[in-house]
Amino acid sequence: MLTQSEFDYLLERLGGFFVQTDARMVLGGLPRALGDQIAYYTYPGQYARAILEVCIANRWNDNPSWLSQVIILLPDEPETRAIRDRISKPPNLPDPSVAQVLVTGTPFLDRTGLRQRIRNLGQTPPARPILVVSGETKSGKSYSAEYIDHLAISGQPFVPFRVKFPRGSGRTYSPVGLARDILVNMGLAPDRLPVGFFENTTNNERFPYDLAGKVLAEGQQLGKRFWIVLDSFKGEEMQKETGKFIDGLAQRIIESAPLWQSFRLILIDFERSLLSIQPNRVDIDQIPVCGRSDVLDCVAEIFHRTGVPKSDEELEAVVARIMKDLPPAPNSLGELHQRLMDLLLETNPHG
Amino acid sequence: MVKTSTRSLLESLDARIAERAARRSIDISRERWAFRLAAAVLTSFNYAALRPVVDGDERLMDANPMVLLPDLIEAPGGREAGLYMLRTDIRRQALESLGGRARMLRALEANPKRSQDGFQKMFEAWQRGDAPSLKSQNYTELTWTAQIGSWLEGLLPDIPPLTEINRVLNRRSVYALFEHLATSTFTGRESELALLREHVGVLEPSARTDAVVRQLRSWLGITRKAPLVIEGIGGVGKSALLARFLTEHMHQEAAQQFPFAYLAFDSPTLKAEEPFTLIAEIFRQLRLLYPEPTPLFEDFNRAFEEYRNRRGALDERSNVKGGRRVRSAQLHDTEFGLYDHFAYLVNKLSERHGPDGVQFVPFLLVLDTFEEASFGGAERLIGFFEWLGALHKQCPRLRIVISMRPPALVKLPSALGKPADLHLSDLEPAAGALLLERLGVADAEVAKTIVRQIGGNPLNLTLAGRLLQKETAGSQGFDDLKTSSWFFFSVSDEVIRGQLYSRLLNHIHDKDVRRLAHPGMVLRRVTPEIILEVLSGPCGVSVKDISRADELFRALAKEHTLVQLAPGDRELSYRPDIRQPTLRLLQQERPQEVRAIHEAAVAYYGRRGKTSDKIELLYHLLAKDSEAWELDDHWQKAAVSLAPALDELPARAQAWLAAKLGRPLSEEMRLRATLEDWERSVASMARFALQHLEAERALSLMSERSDRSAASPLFALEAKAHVLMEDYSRAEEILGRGIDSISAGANRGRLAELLWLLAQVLETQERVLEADEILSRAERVTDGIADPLSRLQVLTQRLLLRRNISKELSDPAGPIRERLALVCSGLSDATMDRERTLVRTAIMLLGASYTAPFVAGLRVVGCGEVTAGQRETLAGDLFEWLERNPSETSSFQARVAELQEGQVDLESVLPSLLEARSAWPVLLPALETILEAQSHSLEAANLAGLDAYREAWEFELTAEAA
Repeated sequence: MLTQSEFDYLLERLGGFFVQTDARMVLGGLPRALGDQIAYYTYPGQYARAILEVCIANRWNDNPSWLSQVIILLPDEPETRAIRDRISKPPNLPDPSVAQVLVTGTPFLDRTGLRQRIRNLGQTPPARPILVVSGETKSGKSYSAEYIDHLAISGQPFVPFRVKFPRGSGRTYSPVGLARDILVNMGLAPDRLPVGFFENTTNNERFPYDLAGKVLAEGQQLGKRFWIVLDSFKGEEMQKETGKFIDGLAQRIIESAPLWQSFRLILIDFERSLLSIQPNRVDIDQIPVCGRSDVLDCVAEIFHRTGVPKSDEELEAVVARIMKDLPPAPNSLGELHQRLMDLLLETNPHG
Repeated sequence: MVKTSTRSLLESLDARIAERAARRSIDISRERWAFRLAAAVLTSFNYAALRPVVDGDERLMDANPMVLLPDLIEAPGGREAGLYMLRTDIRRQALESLGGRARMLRALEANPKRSQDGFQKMFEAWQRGDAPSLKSQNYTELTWTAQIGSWLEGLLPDIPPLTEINRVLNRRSVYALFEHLATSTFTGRESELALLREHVGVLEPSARTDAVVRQLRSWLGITRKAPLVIEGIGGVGKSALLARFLTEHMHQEAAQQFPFAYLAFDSPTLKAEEPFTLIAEIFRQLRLLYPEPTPLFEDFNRAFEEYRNRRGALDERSNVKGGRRVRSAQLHDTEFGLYDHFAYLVNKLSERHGPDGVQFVPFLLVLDTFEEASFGGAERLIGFFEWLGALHKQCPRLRIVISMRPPALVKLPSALGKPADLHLSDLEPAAGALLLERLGVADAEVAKTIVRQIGGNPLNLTLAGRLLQKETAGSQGFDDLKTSSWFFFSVSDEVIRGQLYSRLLNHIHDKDVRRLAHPGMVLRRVTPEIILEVLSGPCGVSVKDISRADELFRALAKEHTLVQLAPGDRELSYRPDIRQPTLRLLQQERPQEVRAIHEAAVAYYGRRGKTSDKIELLYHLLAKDSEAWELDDHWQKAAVSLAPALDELPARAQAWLAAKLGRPLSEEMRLRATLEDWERSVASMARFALQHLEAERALSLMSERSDRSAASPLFALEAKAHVLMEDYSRAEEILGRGIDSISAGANRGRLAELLWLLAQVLETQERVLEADEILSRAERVTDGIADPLSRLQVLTQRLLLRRNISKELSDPAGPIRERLALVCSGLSDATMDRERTLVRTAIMLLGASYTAPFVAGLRVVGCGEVTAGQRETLAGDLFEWLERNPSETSSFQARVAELQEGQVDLESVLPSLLEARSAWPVLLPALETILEAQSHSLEAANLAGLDAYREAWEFELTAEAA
């Protein structure tokens, strides 16, 4: 229902709102069935997370959706408004897997290879339950996570979540830290797990693998299908043990049928050689260079959505403007993405 | 309203782009800066509670911390607690603007209630200037320092350069693998350490000024040596000795250090049967020990990538021309190619270039817990010893130390030379007493007495130290402890350990909990329901209802030294290091209670349906030595997780389980094994031998018995061995016998496999007509197999036969092609994805005229390797077509242009090209031509799609490697 970035944005805003307003008072004004599912918490952030998760689980089952009713409490900012407008009705796309513009309004250029690989990833049993997405710096690897969010929002039966490596500040990101973040994303409370859950009672070589197994076992009991997206975990800065923990996740998912039924692992910008599993159990998507034809496809789809198609000459003119004076690589894709967003807003300012 | 005028749309776009550029240069507010300064000196924080640095401007006190939100990222591991940190670039800016130590410390004062975890304390220590030296920091502290260093580098004078911190950290991370084993309680072992030093050729660490010179002198003329094998029972301190030896050289001068790698075979990533996993780990450690990138490492990295790609390709089904022998030989060459590169790396790393020319230093390879690797039998280690032998031969400065528990299940090959042995026995009495003193036993006399009583096993002494915290020892040591001195036969260290644990258990305060633990330790897992339904009777504990069981469960869960809670708080298990020795003692002393618990557990788990319950049911059936037919009824693949429990079982049960797991059978197990169990065990070993081209060895293993079960896996393996030896008539004879035997049964998978192999043998002898007849029979057999891939492969091979020969075969190609098209049309994407090369071969044979399966297949499996010339030709054909058909979308045109210019490869744009249906008349034949030009062969392939008929041991090797 929400992309990871939208979720994070609302979490911050709602958390800030509850700093100033008693969350329990607010719950009184929301649907009772929603309030009944929220436990008592100490911190505003915990309330914010719990409310968002309950709302997302309820999807569009009520009209207006619970999430819409919560968002309306927040200050009227452009970002909040954009989310509110987008989720005002359930998405209705013919085939979400081929969309060039995602349900979140984000342009998603070409990537036919990735689309096919993600389709394969969704199969049961999957030949390769692990996917590594590689490419040049700022080539758009992280947008893969947006596409996965898009599929889930469009009704695919899995729950995706992304954990992003904090580049420049990630040296202390240990296996335990990552395990905790994954558990929270699956809706579990790490502090309520048994004492000793995160304790290293073995050697540093084995511990990350044992921990990975425990984390997946916890998640599997929830009976959902999780797609774990780990973004940018690589390089000198990443702890070696954290790399082993990720390898452990991959290993366990491949080796155990109950686990590959419950999990997929998508590693964006990850060094493939850190995986000790058989090479043919991992699918690799090497992001191709984003070319002019990709921009043309996306622009054509944007106009197609408006119901006022343009001639080839007009399309060429718009593409020429969008691609004019782009900053040099590696920053060009970010700016290109922004300009396509500009075009989306200009052609369809209300939605 | 939608803008319909392109001109006005372009103007609006211009305005938006300009506005965004302008927004980036807007100054941020004073409030935001005040929060940035406060956040910059904190590792992480809850932003709602953050106080700003006001610098005298009290109005800022009321500022809302929400202004800082755009500058924040989630703190690693802090999602649950809502912890954030400042974005790295902004933190650097803020720290820079603070300008120095004094203002940083003042900024800290803004948040007196800040977190005081280890990371924050270390950050503050560096800000104050009193952080411990890098040398004295442990691995975790160095990790914090590395992060802090990246934030503060160049801002404070005493922050070491980041490269220096990383160098120390990386090196330390290798030692972190084992340094916790060399604890402060390590005592004695002086002679053993001296032997290790002598083997490696290093001197005892010394502060003497001439230490470096002496060390370098000792390395002159360093020559090849056979491995040193350290052998000792569990708990005697083998790993601790190695850890001590390696860590004592940790802080030596660079000139005295030597390259090393430490492999512990209990690691889940190290597979001795796949030496590349060992090489990958050694290379990882070496890169950490020598962090500066060098051409040497880069070259090896490239060679390793190349190896991975070749291995991946060899594991594909349809690729190798020339039959099984060729595939095995290619696999062998690929492995040895990697070994050569690795030996070169080892030799180069043991060279030192100085003013006096090249000097040589030893390269130490430590193989710890080697018994874990040898459990699987000698055949599983053929590849490992080939690698070690190649390394030993090519690297004269290599020093190998192997540490293992007895008995030695596998003999080291003679190519490694005659190994030196170091038998690690108990600690000397003085060292044992010293260990007890370090564990807190204040009375030296008591310590000596205990050592006399229980011996010098370090693990037992550690337990005794714990026991002495709970009870006192008399002049004869512990009362009522059965030891070697009181019996005419010797009592093993393990039994003494069991007794020590039992006594520790006796200190559990609640008597009911004590009874549940002992003999309840027979169970592998405990829940309140199990206490109620299984344990209460045999343990003699009155448990009226589930709420009492729940109370006892919670009380038992508090015994942390004894049990560990499984994730989820719903069940607990006994710590393995306690359970195993205690279990042996229980089986000897209280056999009736043990059996009663097994019986009750079988009844309990028999009523349950979850996989984990079924595995426990099987465990207890095995433990009570049930009949093979009963065990067979309860076998399932997930039960491979019972492997670590093998030693706990009676001999007959061990034989049954070992066979299921593909483990070798001991003499005792063999005597009790059924024919099927023996076949499973031997088949697993023979497969490893065949993988390494040791056909005679495989045949020798299989000839131990001549009888065969009806659907024996040995028929196929014996035939493959004879094919490798090019004895086709013998292979044919065995396959014929196997086909006759299996035809009477119901195992279609095994029958199809034998027919497939027979067809391969006949084709190798150019008896194509007969081969096709056999394939025709295989086609009928595979018709009844649920997985369509076996049928697909047989049909594909029938067409390949017709493609490769000129003479007419009895069945015409047309109907076969029709049947193949039908199978292809029914394949799901996932099924095609499992066998990309096979499906590619199949659709190549169908051709573009079978449009639907051809296109569907191409979309999933792609078109494989394409040359630049083929790509350009295809793009040229499409351009010509575009000239005749200008109405095709401009994006299709642009894509074709990119293809022609080589900006994209065909594989990545193929799915979108296939979207243009109108271009198919040109595109599909061109793709067909590309596919036809590729190599397609199933000469060396096994039959796909038989997983449902395979047993657990058959999945240990990739299908094509076997």
